[in-house]
Amino acid sequence: MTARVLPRLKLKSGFVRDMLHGHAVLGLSFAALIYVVCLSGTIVVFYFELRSWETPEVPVVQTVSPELVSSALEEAVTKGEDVEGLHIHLRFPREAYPRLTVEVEGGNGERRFWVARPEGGLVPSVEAPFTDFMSGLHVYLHQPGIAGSSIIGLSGILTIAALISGVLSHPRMFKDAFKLRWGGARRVQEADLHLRLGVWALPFHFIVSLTGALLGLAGLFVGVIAFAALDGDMEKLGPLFSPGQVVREGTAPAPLPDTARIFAAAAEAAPSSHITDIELDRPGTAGQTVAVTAVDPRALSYGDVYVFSGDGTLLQRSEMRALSAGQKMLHYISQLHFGWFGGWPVKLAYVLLGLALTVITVNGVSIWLAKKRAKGLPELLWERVWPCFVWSQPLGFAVCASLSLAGFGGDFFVPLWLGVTAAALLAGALWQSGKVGAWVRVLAGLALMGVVCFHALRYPAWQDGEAVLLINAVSIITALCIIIPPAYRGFLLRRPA
Amino acid sequence: MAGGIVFLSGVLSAGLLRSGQLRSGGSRFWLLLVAWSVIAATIALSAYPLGAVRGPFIALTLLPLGALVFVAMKLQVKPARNKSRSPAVAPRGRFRALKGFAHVLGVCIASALAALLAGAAVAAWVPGPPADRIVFSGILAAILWAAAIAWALWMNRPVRSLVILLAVALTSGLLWFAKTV
Repeated sequence: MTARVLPRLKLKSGFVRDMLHGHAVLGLSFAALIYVVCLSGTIVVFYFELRSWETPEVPVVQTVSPELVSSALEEAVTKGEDVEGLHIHLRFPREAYPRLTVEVEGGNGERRFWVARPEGGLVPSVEAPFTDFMSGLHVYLHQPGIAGSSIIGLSGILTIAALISGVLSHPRMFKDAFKLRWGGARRVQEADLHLRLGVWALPFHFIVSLTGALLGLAGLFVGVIAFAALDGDMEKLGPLFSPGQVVREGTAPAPLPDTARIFAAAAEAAPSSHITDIELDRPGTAGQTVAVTAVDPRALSYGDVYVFSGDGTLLQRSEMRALSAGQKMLHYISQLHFGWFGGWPVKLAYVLLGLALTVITVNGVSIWLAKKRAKGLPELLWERVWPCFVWSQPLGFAVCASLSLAGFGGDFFVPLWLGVTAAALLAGALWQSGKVGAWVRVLAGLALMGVVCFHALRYPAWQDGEAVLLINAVSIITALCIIIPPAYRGFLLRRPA
Repeated sequence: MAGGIVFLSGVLSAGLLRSGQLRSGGSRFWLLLVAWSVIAATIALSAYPLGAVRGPFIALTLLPLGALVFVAMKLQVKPARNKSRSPAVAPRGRFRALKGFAHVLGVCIASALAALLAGAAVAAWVPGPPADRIVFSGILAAILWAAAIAWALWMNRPVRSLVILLAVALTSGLLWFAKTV
């Protein structure tokens, strides 16, 4: 007798057959898009580590004192003297990116960036083209306007739809939740992997897809749903979700804020929180304000905001506990999507479970191809093209990372990535060999190894940094996982008979 | 530390579920009860060391990872079988595939229209602070959109499913309009 561990779905066979058909049609239609979004998202979980790895020469600041903030503000004001409507934003060091960055923004939208040295003084910020390329790919697909982010959001909706149809089309998935067969028939192996990863990681996949859809489609949802909720008065929308800027009169010259007093006032207002950002508006005037963002490490929030006057008087506080359920939910949505809320264990889990969703997407297509082959009707073209597409992505990313390390800017990364993808697809379409996918795969692995070697040659003095060690170790492990299986299966070297 | 305990709890509860699945009689019931109790207790108690909202979400992330590690430990390795039939050379399905893609695209657009207008109607009619109505109606619209896609593709009758989705969109739009006038 087989025990029932998880809810058993009692579904009619016709329902299951139709749902499976819908699941397959949906997956096959959008597998490539979902794959790119999942893979880039998995990599971007390490956004700050990647930035540290790509620019290890940027000065590291572990702890921030009021004196350091004060000197950074003074220098930023001096550097921004020619900027109209000056606004200075200091981002404090975080565990994965221990740098104090300074952004100076003018009223005309002009922005300049510096980084503080631990002993004081600012140095120009260094760009991280590869990190920006990866995050841009995941956030807006490098498309202008809201088109790119909407497509990304749509991929989240499609993933939820695939999760729903996947659960309803596999009534045995809970019953067989522990069965994972490796080897034997290829189709069984792929199906087991698809279903086991799918069932156990279901809560995570649902949360990440839903939050991703909401973030990507925010423009569309705001345009329609907020319009309906506010009876068309969209001017009410801003104050609902942001504390609103404190504007004080006074353009007469005044000394810069006393940062020690501001630090003390912030510590008094939020004793269990740590400061993550300081924003200084109209510095050096009687109407200047200092907005301090402080994050409680136990909260799922991007911070409480306290606005002070130049003399340290608290003018406004916007705290998580005072927000309505919907406003709190906005904090949760972004935190839950990025996976930066629980230290390295959660980050690692996000990477592994994100990789699981990537694998599910890829091998969903592989299962369909294997089924067609088992029926004696193989899709020869797709059998070659699909693995080429899959492996062209890490190959393209590795090529872009290498060029970034070589000092190239990110302007041509998008055409380069598209070019690598197109070349791999063309190779798959034209090269009448079943090994073409394995070749692209091995090339991707070697390129990834090459990136690590290149980094060691380019930055020999920074190889013991935490972020560098982490990214290099992950890259080497990934490269080995990519290269070894096809080599082991004898795809590349013909074994003697 | 707390994260490690949550992860181990995932491994343990998966092990208990598996043991329960393999047994019959009274011990099965108790094993399953203990397994689900461990899961529920981990989610609930994680709020204490890790934060009221943050803790349960950390648990929801680390518990499945622990369970997956348990499943991986039970991996059954078999010798590879590479029996493949010789490929047939019958020309097939490119036009059908294109038609299928057009259907999916049509479903996506019709579902979006239905879900967004339904969300807008809910946002317009339900009571409560505007921020809550906007956010929760947005979440509802996203889930409805996905569910509508899954449903329409299950229907496998393109015209009928599109007509129903457009009818839902029209009804929702009328409801929203009724609120504004």
